[in-house]
Amino acid sequence: MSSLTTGDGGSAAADIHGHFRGLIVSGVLGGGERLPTVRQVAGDLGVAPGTAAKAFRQLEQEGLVVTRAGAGTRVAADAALLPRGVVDRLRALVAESRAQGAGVDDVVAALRASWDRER
Amino acid sequence: MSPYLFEIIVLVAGSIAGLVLARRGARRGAGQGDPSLEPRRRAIRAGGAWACAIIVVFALEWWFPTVAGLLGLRGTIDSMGYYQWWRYWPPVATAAIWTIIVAVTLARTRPAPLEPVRTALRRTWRTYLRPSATWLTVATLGVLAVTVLLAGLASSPGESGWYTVLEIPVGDQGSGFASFPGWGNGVPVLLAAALLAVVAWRTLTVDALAPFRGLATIEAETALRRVAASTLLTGAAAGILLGLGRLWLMIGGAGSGSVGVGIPGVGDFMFSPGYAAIAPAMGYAGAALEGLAFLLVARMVFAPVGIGAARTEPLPAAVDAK
Repeated sequence: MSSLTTGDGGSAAADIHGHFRGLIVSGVLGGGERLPTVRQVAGDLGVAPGTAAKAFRQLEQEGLVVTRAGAGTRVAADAALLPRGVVDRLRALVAESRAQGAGVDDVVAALRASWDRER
Repeated sequence: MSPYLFEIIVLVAGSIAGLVLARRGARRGAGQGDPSLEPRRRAIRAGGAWACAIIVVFALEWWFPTVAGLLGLRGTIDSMGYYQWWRYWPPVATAAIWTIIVAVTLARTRPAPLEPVRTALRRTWRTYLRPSATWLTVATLGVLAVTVLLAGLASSPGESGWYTVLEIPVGDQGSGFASFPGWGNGVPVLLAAALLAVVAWRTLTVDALAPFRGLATIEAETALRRVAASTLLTGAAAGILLGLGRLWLMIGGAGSGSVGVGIPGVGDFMFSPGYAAIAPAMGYAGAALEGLAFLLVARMVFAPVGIGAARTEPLPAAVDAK
């Protein structure tokens, strides 16, 4: 578990950058998916909006996200591990599995079996 | 059976059905949630004021002329002619005022964050709502706007100058007039509905963007946000349905019963075949919409599990906290 440094704007921005970078490259966020707003991130973490904005700018410079006026900040299609539609369905699968009391190992095994059968 | 008698029956039936559903929902939800969030839970449930206000407004709608007469205002009411404003927009405006009260209540009972909580997902006004309920409410608002537009275009100015009558041309004999919810009645309903929609959207947005108290309460807070959001959406939907139902009831009432109106000594005034055909059905549909609104109100007040709770949506992913 990493810690968030809020006393130093630079460290906090680096932490936010690392957090979202990890989410993108690990497939938690899908390609084309909108990131939380700067206001939401700043509010959640108790930092200044400028600090969150700085982290987002760094993500954009690395090509991980794309920012367009009026469309917000989205995960770049070529930076994401999975397309957004797949990630959305994975989230629904996780939510439904939790609601039904299914374990993660069983779900992964069933997913793998289903994957092999459909091939 | 007239549409107005049908209206009373469906209002009673809707209220009873809502109460039954509410009792079942209350039993299901008993004892759930984090105790530290109890003030916020109680505040959300304190929506009974709106139901009381709706009942008072509906009572006034029927008895306003009598009450006005008792207060010595009868002459003022009569001078308004057909402009019976109290029959249309007050229920919608009451819902808008109730939404503002909910917004203030949510702001006052919002727990202060104890620690930063990192989330991955974007939260918007729709995050804690069921998409189908959200789109149904938006569609109802759209139908209300179209109804006001079409009824307004069909209306004509009455003796008082307000666009509140339907002119029925009868060949060379001149024109007949029937009381009708034109611009004079529809525009205030639409303005009240627009205010309701804006306030509800803003309240949902602000509540969704609020930071979580901490990792330990994120699940309970998420559940409570769903309850708050669905209660708010249910109240807004009920308000819009009341306005739409009343408009349809009055549009249908203006042309129901026959294919025209007869005035003794003057003659018969015939409605167009299209209007005469749909008017009775619109009257009954309007009454049914009001009944549905009362069902939502009753259910919302006594068990805050409204139409919009996104029960199967994933939690905003909490990754770690300081």
